[in-house]
Amino acid sequence: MASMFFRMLRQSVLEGRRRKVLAAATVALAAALITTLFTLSVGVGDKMAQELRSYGSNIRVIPRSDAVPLVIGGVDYNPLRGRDTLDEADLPLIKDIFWRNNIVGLAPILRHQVVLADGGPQVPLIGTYFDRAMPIPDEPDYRTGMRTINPFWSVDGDWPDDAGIDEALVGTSLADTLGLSPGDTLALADPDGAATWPVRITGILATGGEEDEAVVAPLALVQAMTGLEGRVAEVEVSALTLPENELSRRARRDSDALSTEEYDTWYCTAYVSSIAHQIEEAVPNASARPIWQVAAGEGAVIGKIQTLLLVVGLAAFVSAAMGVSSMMTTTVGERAREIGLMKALGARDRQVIGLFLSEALVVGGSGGALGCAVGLALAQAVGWMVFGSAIAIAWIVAPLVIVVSVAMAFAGSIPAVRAIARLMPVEVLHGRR
Amino acid sequence: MSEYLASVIKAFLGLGLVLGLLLALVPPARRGQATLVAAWLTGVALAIGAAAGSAALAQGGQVEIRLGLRTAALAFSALSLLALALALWRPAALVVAIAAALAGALLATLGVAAMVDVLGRTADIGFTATEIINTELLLNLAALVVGVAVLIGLAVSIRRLGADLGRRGSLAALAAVLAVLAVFSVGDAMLALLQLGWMGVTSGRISFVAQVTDAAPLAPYALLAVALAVLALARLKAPPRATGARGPRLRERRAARLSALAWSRAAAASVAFLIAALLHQDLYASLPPSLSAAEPVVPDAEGQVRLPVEPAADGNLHRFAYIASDGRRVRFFLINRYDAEHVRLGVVFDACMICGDDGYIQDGNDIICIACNVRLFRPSIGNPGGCNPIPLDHVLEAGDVVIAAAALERGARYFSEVVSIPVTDPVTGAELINTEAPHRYDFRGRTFFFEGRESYERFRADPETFVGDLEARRWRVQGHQEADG
Repeated sequence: MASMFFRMLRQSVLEGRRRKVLAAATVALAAALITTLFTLSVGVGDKMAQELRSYGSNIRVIPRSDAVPLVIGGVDYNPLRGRDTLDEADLPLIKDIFWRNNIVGLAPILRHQVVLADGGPQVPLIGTYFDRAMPIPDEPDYRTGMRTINPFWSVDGDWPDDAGIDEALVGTSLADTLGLSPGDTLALADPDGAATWPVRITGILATGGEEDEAVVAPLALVQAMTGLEGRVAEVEVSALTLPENELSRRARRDSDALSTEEYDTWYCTAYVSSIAHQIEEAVPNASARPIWQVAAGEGAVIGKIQTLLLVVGLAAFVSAAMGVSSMMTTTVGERAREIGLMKALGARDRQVIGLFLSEALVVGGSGGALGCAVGLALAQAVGWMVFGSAIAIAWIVAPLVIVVSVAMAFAGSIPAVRAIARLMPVEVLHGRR
Repeated sequence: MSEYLASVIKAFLGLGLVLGLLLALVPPARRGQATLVAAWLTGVALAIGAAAGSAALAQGGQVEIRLGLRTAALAFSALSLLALALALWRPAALVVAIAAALAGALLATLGVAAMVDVLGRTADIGFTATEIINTELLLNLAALVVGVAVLIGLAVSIRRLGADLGRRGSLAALAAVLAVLAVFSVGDAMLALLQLGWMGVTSGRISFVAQVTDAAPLAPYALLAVALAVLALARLKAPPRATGARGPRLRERRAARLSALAWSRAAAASVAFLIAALLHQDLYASLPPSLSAAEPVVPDAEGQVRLPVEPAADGNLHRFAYIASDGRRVRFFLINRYDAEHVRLGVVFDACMICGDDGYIQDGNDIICIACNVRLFRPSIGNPGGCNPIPLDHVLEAGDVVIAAAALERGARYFSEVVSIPVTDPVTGAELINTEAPHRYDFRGRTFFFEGRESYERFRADPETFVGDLEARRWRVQGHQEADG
């Protein structure tokens, strides 16, 4: 019986091939569009989920006055921005909170603009710890700095000595532009041109971030240049944390709204929000915020246009279903006598419908597979054009798109199925319709 | 993903079977119409359940809702079974109408209850970490869709197989399904009554509720067993291989047989899928991580445990266990906090001041507290605070870690696991087994065991005379204390 079914299906698929190829192409076009949209969205969604589910995160500590939002029309009008600083002597307090053992490391940051000697270009200068001793009660020989919290920073050459003020790293892009290499000397000057500070380049730094365009020097040097001895502008803290959940999200919105019991649970669990809260308690005049890189960047963009993507996907779905629908209705019309004969021979409605739906399955499945392949390639092209990088392929998209394509074909078959059910053998076999 | 699949199956399996069997009881002529009505009714019930369940999750009141639903389900189960039996025996129009109404009420109650149930089950599992479409969200969604589809398939095939089985068979199967559901409804309703304080707490009631709650994970398997029984009986009743007839009669009979076999294959496939999904969740996916084996240690004559540093320097977690004087199993572990060149051992109890003695496991390079899932910053192991393991006093001596048995005894109260060992009665000096001793008494955190009432009373009156000035054990509630403090 089964082999008979497949023989009929093969015949039925091969009949009217051109029309079916056209319908499959319609499905493929829609599938390609949906694949592209989903690949973009799911790629970012996965990255964001991974970030929110990860067991480590970074926290930025800034002076409280900097954290006051005073943004009007997208422009920040906070007059205190960048004017206030934190006390460098308070840094060990961060390693003294309840979750101190979960703080992997921290690094202060102080920024400045310098002119490279003799009217050269103005470049950013970043002062920080690289690997500096910071004795704390639990561990007298605790060391911390950018090398601990950003293990993926790579240096071609040597790391500068934190104690000195005459060594620095140069970001890889800046080094390319200026033709610098390790061992060269640079003269850093204030934009006002009051004094110059000669530094030796110990290495070329590659981070993939803003540091690639900057000179990165020990904190002490930048403090000396800016006259902000013992002050830092912000601190980056790396902590081992638990993934966010409903409780921590509520606490992040408003920790005062929690009940006492919830507050205790939250405080005694290593959520990034509770660690940030404890840092705020420990360090005077500080505001601590988790850094969600993906959530704040690509995630925010996709989040805003996601509804648009779904609407476009739906439109593609409907148009492909209409394409399939016209093909199926024509086929059923052409083969009315054959269907009538099958029914007259005792075939049940659902068997005949099954035959035509299998045909739709073949059309939708093959169109979907083709469209999926095209869509994946298209998504890569979009990725290179828009983001300048390849897009991670989420494999879940392939089965999803094929299921959606088959659904398109089935949705398009609804009128044909109704026509089959209505068809009376006696009418078509007599040729009255 | 598998959590969602299993939750959907556990919540909706009963509803699906009841739906299929009730429809099998409807006369063939009206079955199509009845199916449509039942489908609408179930849909509305599910929508009401979704609203009630989310309202309960947001504002509390789950216990009251559960109690109401369980009581209604019990009442409607009993009443509709009676009415259906009566309708089968005396199919008067009024009786049939009453039976149909009661069956509809039962279906609606079960639908609301199943929805509330599934919302409660999945409230603590994150459906997705972010609102942006991601792989996890799609997989969870697929699990929901597949679970619901298989259950609908099962209900449809049970409807057909039940009809093949005959009305009496279907009614018996329905009674069996409702009986299984009733046992757990009674247990749950009683638990709710106890929780609300509307029923007095007695040890007999607590024990009944505990046993029913304990057996609750078996309920879906019992329901699937009923489905399998229906399947097997219907298969036995399938028309035999057609012989004797010729022509159209032969083909008609052959078609009837093939159709019956196809339905029972479909039902068998759904049941197999459901059992596999449930077993995967219960026996594999939901199991907590287990601790690696602990190597037993015994103190030497000087009352010290000596462990060589060398093998522990490899960066892995090395777990040991010491049996304290009263049989408590004290676990501790050694771990290299830095790399192979800088060996600095952390020597700590396998327990956390906050989370208790669930212990720590190593997953790749991470050391994880099982109870709260926090990752430890390895160089900090050995320091008190946060979720770090409780530090254990020790000294380093000639390439050995030396731990005094007294230090291990001090921490024995951090652990709850007790093994059977021979102990002596401190009053009479008699030998006995700690777990079988008739009397015991806790003094300064240590448990002492007595062979009889008399020695127990004498010890209790003045413990110091028998055990001298004993060093007290520490409790977790005391928090971290200075070494030798």
